[in-house]
Amino acid sequence: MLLHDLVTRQAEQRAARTAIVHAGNTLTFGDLETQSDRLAHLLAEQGCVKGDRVCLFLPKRPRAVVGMLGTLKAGGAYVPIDLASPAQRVERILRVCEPKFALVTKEGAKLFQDSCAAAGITPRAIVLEDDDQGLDGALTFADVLAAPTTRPDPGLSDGDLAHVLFTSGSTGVPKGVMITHKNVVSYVEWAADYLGTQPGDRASGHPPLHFDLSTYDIYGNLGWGAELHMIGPELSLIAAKLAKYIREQELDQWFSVPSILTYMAKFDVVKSNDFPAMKRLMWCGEVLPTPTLIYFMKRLPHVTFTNLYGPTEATIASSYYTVPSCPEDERSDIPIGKACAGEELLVLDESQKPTPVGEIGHLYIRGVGLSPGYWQDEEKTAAAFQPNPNLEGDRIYRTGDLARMGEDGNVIFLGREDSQIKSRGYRIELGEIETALSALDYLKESAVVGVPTGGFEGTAICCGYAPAEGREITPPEIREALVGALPKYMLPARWKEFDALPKNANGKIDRRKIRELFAGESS
Amino acid sequence: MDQKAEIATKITEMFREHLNINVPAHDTDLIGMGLLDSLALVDLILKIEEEMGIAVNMEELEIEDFRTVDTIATYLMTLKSAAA
Repeated sequence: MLLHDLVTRQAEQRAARTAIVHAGNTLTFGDLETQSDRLAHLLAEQGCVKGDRVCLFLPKRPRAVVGMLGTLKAGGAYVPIDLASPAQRVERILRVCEPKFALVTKEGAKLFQDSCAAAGITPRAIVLEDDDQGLDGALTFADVLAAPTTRPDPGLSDGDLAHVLFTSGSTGVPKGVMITHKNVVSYVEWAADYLGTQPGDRASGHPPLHFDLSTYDIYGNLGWGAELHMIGPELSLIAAKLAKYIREQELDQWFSVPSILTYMAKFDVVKSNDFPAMKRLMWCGEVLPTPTLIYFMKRLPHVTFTNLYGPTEATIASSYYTVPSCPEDERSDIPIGKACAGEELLVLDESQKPTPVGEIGHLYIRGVGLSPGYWQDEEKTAAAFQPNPNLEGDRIYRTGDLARMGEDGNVIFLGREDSQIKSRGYRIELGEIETALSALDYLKESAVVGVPTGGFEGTAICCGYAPAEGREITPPEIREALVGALPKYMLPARWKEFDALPKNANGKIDRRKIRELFAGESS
Repeated sequence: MDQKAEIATKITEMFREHLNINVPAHDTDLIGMGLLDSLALVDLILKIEEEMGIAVNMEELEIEDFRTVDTIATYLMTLKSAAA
């Protein structure tokens, strides 16, 4: 089964039914199918063959899904670009993934031009708008609609690439996680079965398109005939507006990163027995604070609450835990639970032997979700995807997470073994921020630490810095310099100036000390 | 300087001093440019309430009122005159 076939199957049965809803616009399964067939035809006619990368400079709109399905049907692998990223970062992604095509809308046109110019590449652009948005010689949506609906046959099998998702890399170069059709199909088949997804269900689409959680939203819902209600970033700015939207759209399923839930709880915008249509609320990406869970479970007794866990490298989620009843203790841990079908969670010690129940170890994942590896990076691939010592020919992925196995077989997440943090659901390597800071010659030294806030932002990114001799520099100036190199969500929120950064006995920067200094002051 | 311009200047100062964000101009699209996310918005509103003595009702907030420094200033002016 190929990923796009899941949607085609629904289009054949319910062409006139609504597939996607966004800001008052709707797209039916039939239109989604024919538009993406036409796009696939156009891409193939322009020379797209199996395995070609197609970069998506598309905001969250129904047409973005047309772009994804069209790419898959032409045999391509799409690479969603975060439109909030600076051109300098996108340039690095373009250099690495070498796209032959780009799908662009008006919101992405400038970033497309700037990043391609910087990377020195000229992918063929198809602008999914009525005009070419100033991209000379580009094809437009009128060309898409004029193309025949006959789909090309790129000769795909389910082990071929569906997309490449770029995540933060510790040396400043984003890592491209390769995801196959089979990786996604395996997960969404499990999810639809476990969740009981049905035609006519009304599900949220909250995470951005460059997050792998959105892959579930799209295929896990559309593939089973459910309606996808795409939620743009602006709606999330005001908690009360978002709650109103959920209420009025009568969503029966909500899925997001925890921070937006904590944001709603903080502003107390959920009423008792609110969201009467809702059946299930799920989160993934980082730990949901237990007080937030209690807040929602008390107000929404009719809803089932499910915690999902899993890194992009193991596709969307690898384990699940449906909370049996409202926790009484605000300090209790919510397990990440048990493996989804076809997957296995392993808690192993330094010599890759299983740790005894209850003891901390390194969390590894094996099974159907495992990515083939990082795009054109054998070294990083070999370091993270290792041979399974207990099963020849099998692979295990080292998540970098620490965990323990509970007596009931549920796994408990205990933190990170490196300097990766989660901030508002974004996965961030602090090293990427430090790399950007080290390029600023007016800083003598700098260090970035993550400080848990207890608030909805999760971990706050804090920067300690020492100006170079004789230089005066303020945080707004440093921040502005970083804007060109990092996406906004990676910019430090708190700053502290030092004459020289604290050092430990070995003369290395004492990050623990810096973290304590930030944690000691109220935000 | 008229009162609205005065408030706009004060807002720009809050962005710089409190949020460490330089806002290039009073008509810069704060949301489109990604300068104002939910975290910064909440911090900003708390600061406005604290420093200007204006109560902002989060329930009734329209995001368009926070599109630019100018629109924030206009919005705060209406709040002020409603309270007066």
